[in-house]
Amino acid sequence: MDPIQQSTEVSFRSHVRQWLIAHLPEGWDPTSTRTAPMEERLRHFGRGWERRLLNAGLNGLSWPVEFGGQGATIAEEMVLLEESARLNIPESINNVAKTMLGPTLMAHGTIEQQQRYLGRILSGEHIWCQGFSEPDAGSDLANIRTTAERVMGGWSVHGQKLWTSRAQYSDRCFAIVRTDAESQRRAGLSVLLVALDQPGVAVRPLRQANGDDEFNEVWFDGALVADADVLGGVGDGWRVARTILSYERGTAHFGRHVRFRRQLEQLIKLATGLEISGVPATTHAHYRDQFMEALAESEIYRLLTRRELGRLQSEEVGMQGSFLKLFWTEMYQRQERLALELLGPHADLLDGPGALDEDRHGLRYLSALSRSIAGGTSEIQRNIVAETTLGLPRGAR
Amino acid sequence: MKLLLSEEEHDIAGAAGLCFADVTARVTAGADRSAELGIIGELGWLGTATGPPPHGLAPALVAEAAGRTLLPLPFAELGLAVPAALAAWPEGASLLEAVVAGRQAWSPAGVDLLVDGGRGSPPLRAALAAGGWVVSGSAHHVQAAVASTGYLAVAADEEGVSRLFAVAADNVEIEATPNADETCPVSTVTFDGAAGRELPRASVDALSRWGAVGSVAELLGCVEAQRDLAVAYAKERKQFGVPIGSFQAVKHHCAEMHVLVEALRVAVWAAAIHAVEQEESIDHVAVAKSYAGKAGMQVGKLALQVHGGIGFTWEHPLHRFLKRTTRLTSAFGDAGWHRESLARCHLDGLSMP
Repeated sequence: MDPIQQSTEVSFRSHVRQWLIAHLPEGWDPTSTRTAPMEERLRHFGRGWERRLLNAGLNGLSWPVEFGGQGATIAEEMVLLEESARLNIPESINNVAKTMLGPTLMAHGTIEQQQRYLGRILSGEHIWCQGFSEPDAGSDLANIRTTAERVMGGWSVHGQKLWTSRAQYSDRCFAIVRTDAESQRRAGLSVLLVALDQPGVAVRPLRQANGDDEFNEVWFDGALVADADVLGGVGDGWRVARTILSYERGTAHFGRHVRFRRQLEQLIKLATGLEISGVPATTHAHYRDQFMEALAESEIYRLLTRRELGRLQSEEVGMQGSFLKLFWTEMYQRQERLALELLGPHADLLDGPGALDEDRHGLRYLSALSRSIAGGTSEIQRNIVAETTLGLPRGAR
Repeated sequence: MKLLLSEEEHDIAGAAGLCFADVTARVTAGADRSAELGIIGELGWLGTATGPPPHGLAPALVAEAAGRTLLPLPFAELGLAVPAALAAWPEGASLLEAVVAGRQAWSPAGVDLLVDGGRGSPPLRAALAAGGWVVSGSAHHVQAAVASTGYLAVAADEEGVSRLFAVAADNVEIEATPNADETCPVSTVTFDGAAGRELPRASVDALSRWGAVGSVAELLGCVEAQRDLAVAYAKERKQFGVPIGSFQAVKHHCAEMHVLVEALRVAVWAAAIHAVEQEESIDHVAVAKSYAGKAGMQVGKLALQVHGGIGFTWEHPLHRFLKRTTRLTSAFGDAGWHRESLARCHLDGLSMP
C-alpha cells in the first residue's frame, strides 16, 4: 500500500472509531464479547442504526455514488467492519441486502428497480431476507419447488422457503422460484422481489438448537409479485442466483477476524483466573499449547482477509468465500471446543454465580457448529474449492 | 503488509523453481551436490537474506521452490540461516562471500540447543582456553549433503549460555548416520576441543530466525507439491470407470489440502517479511511454524491417502516429500516449541482478573 493511501486509511479509521463510540447505544458495553440476543440487536442496531450510519456517510461505503453509496474503497469498508467488531457491534441486520442483493441489482436490475430499492436498503427502510433454501432444496439448490403462476400484471407465488434467516424482521425477500411449472432443474427459474407484508405470506420462526430463533419457514400462498419485480428476466433465475452468490465473497470475513480474536482474548483472560490440576490454566502446558495454536490460527485468518482485500483491490479473482468460510468455521469450532474444555462443568451454566463469563459457551459452541451448515455446508464449499479452484471433475453428488 | 506477489517476485519464484528442478534432476542422475551448490550460488540464490532489511518475499519464495522441487540440499540451512548469520558478523565478510557463492559450505551444528530439540542428548560445550574458545561434544543431524568447510556450532558455555562459533572442519570426526529423508543426508559430528571463533549475538538470532523461516517456507513448497501431485492423480486415476477426483470423499481431501496449503502460504510470507523486523504485535515466524506442524502432517497424510497404494511405493516421489516434510516440521523448533515462545509473550505476565 502506498503511504498516501495508508495515511488516508489511518485517519479514516480514527474517524470511524470516534463516530461509532460517540453513537453507541446507551448501556452498550463495547468491551464485552457476548452475543447480543436478537431483540437487543434489533433495538440498538436495527433500522435506526442503518439510517444513522447513512446520515453519517458510513452506510454503503463501497457502493458507487450513483447508487446512493459513498464511493469509498473496499479497504475503507473493511475498516468500518473491523472497527464495528472491535466495539462488539453485531453484523448488520441488512447484510444480505448490502452485500449480495444490492450489487446484483446494480448489475442486473432495471433502472426502476435500482431507484426503488437501493436507497431503501441503505436507509434501513427495507430489510431483506434471502429466499433460496427449501425443504427439498438445500445443498441441491436447483431442486426448487416453489412456483409462480402468471396472473394479471405479475405472478402469484406458492410454496415454502426454509432456513430463511431473519425473515420475521424483514420487509422483503429475494426469492428464487419456478416460473415455468413444466421446467426441470436450472431452467425455468426466476428471482422475484417479494413484499412480505401481504396476505399471501406467512412467516413462522423456528427455534434453533442454540435457543435463538433467527431462521424461519416462509409460506407463500398466492403472494403477489408485480412484473416489475422480476430481477434479471423471467427464466433467468439460475444465472441471477449465481450472481447473487458470487457476491458472497470474502468481505463477510473482513470484520470477523476482529470479533474472533476478541473472543479468544476474552477466553484467555478468563483462563488466568481458572485453576486446573492445581495451577492457573495459563500455566498449564496443555492449555498454553491450545491457546497459542488458536492464536496462531486467528492471526492467519486475519492475514487471509488481508490477502483477500489485496486481491479484490487488484481485481484479481478473489480467493472465494468458500475458502475463507472453510478456514473460519473449522477454526471457530476448534476454539469453542477449547472453551468447553477449559470451562469444564461450568460451560453448561449460562447465567448465575457459577457461569464464569457472559459468553454462554455452552450455546456458542452450538452456534459454531451451525456455521459449517449455514450459508452452504462445508461439504458444498469443499466441492466448490475442488471443482472451481483445483479443477476436479464434477461427479455424482 | 502486502500479501500479493509483484511481477518481479513471480519471476524470482519461477526462476528459482526452474533452476532447482534442474539441480534435482542432475543430482538424481548422479551429479555431485557440491558442484551443484556452486551453480546455485553463482545464480545468486544463496544471498537473499544477507542484505539489509527489508528482504521482501524473495527468501521465502526461493526456499519454497527448494521444497517444491525437492532440492537435495538443505536450503533453509545453507541458503538462508548460515548466510544470514555470517552477514551479521563483521569479521565474517570473506566467509560470507565464499558461502554465498556456493564455493564453501558452512553447516549449522548443535542448533537443538536453541530450540529445545536435543531431547536430553547433551549439547555441544564451549570452554574458554588459553588460545580462545574450544568446542567439544557431538552434534546430531548435521547436514551431510555436501562436504563442510566448517561449522557454525551452537554450544553452551560453562554458565549454560548459548554461543555460536565458527569451527573449521579440520579436527572433527564425522560419522554418517542413516536418516529417513535420504534426499538430505546427515551425519553426527564430534568436536574434541576444536578451536572456534565466536560470532555475535546477532548471528545467533539470524541463524535461528532465518533457519525457521527457511524450514517453514521449504515445508510450504513440499506440501504444495504433495497437494498438486494428489490433485493431478485424482484427475487421471480411474476407478469404477471414472476419475477418483469425481468422488466427493476424494474431492474433499483435495479441498482440505488446498485450504491448509494456502493458509500456510500467507503465514510463511508474513514470517519472511517479519523475520528480522518484528514491529508487529505477534511473532509471525512462530505463527507460521505453529501452523506448519499441523498443516504439514495433515497434507502429507491426505496426499498419501488420495494416492492409495502407488503413493506408498519407493519409485513414486510422494514418500520423499513426506519425509522431507516430517523433517522440516521440527527443524529450527517444532510447533510446540514455537507455541511456547508465543505463550511467553501472550500468556505470561497477564494479571489475574
